[in-house]
Amino acid sequence: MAEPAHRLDPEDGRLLDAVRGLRWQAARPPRRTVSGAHVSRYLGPSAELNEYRPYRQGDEVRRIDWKLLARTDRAYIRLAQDYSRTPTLFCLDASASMGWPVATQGKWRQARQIALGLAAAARAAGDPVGLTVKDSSGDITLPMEGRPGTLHTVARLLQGVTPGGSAAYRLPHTPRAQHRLVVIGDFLGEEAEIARLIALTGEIVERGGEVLAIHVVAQEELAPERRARALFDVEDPSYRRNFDATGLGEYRNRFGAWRADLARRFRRRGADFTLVQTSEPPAVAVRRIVGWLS
Amino acid sequence: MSLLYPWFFWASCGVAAGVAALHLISWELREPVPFPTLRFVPEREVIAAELNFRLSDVKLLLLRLAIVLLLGLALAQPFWVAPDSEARVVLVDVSAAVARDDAWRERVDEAAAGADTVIAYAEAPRRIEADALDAAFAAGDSAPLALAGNLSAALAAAIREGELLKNQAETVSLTILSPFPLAGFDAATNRLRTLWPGPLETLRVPAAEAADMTEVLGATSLTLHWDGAAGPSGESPWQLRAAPDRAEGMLTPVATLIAPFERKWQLADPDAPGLRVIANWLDGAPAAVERIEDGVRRTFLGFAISDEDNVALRPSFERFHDWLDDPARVHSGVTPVDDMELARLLQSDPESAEEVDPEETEIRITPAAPWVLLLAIVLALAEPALRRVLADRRELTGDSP
Repeated sequence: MAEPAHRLDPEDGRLLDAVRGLRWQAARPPRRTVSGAHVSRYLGPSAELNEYRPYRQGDEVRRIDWKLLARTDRAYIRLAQDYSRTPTLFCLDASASMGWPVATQGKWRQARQIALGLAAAARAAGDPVGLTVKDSSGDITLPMEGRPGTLHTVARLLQGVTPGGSAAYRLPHTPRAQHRLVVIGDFLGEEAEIARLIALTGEIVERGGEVLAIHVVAQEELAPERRARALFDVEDPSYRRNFDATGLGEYRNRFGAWRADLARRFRRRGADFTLVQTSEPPAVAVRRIVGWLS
Repeated sequence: MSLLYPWFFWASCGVAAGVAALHLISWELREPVPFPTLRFVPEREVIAAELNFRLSDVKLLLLRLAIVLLLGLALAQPFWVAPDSEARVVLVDVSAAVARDDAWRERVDEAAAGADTVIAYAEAPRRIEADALDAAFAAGDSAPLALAGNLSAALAAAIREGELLKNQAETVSLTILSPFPLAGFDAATNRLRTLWPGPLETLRVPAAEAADMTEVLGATSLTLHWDGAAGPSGESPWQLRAAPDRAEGMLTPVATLIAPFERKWQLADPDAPGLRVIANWLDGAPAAVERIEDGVRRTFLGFAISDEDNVALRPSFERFHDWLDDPARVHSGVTPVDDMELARLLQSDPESAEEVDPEETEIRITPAAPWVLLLAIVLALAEPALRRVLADRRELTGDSP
């Protein structure tokens, strides 16, 4: 196997070491699409026999067990346990708000590491992974890949992303069945975009897919400094407000209510929703998410 | 460099410290910082400013400090004097109370040597040249002599001379040669002494003997003529004032009388020969004169004592009256005070100094002060220009103030 040209960032390397052996099982048995590691929801024509059932009109004729027909003069269909794969698409928010705190790029670093860790867990389960990111310089897309070295590709692509701009997600135009969509971001974009994302979530779930929304929140957002400051919006610098300790309580209430409402909207459409703080070690967060969902 | 009014300079230093503090301490709006969840921040009236301790506009600060300090310096009246230099004022008592012998002359010569100003005083002080003492004293001998030198008037003259010498030397010292008769002191002496800012030295010289005094006065008997009355020759030195007024007191060689007197007489001829003023009203006008006629000392008093007031009962008037009645008592007036009394009478009393009305002090301007003031004004005119230049530059570079 050729050595990947890209050298992993030490931080990414440590993360991959930490999640080694972690397999991300499908939350629900998928229908049979492409054979893979997940037990399929359906019994298929594979060699691993599970049961027989009488032939029904509409069944494929080639699936009739002819030998059994010859012995019993009855037509049966041979059923076997099928295995399938769950292609996983990571859709990351690389808008300017994810590049905060400016000094540490804490939110983006956390989102990047969680995506890489989950991709590693998905690849360990034999699932192909894809990536879409919209950053300040344009779109970055990695089609579904299941080959060795895919993780390095994902790591390299994510490392080259610089958060900026106001557009958050590059969503797939048409929801594909049996897919797993992982959306990682702070969901601070336009309400129309969030609504579109939630609607897409519903369509994917209806088609048998899974959606996982990971809300990345900086510690400084949950507990801002109490001293008086003039603030401006990361994505709209003309929007300014002054802030001090007297407004802290009301800020926390508003922010908390918004987070609760966001989680409720995603879950109502069948998605899984979890919150990750920047202070949480990425490997711990990845293990928590995979363990919870599996 | 010395300062005539150093408090102005110290005050300007205080103002300069305030200016520096204003440049050092400032409330500055905090630089807006990005915040992603700004939409949840409640809209409130919050002053996002902070107290900064950072030196701003150093050039402007230096210019303003220079203006303030130069203004203070100009008001403080700077002048240049040689370090440790000393100017000397010598007061020489030349009244009849002094035994004017050779020893006295030697002491006067010794004290006057190197003095910047020599003032001879009897009734009225007069400045004399140190190298022409003989001529000056000879002229004084021919004039009618006071019984005791008026030390207060002499001190006032010395203070005036001292103010002039203040610009030329770091310290101005005062030397007084006198037998220091009690009659030489009055109520103002101690207060005037406190106005003398430098060191004061007293040199006691021998007092005149009683016989000498009588000889000087040239009289053996006395006649009093009250309230403008004429002598036996029918001639009175007084004439009625056009408008009688009131005097608040009288200065005599032996006492100071503070009491209301009706003043209706004035001298007909102040320069009449042989006439000698022996008492003055507080405003300096003659209140009593005397003339020696045929060995008789005739005293003409320009006032009367009424029975209604109690002036006659006062010890000061009694002393004055005794002195008028009996010339022999003149000796009690010119009896020198002892050393302890002299120290008490000439002690520097700071409390008395504070009572001096500032309006009475003369504001003096040293030669350097106008130039320093001019420089301060020029800098003050340049300050707005510098401020504008700095503002333009800041605008170009986009720096915050």
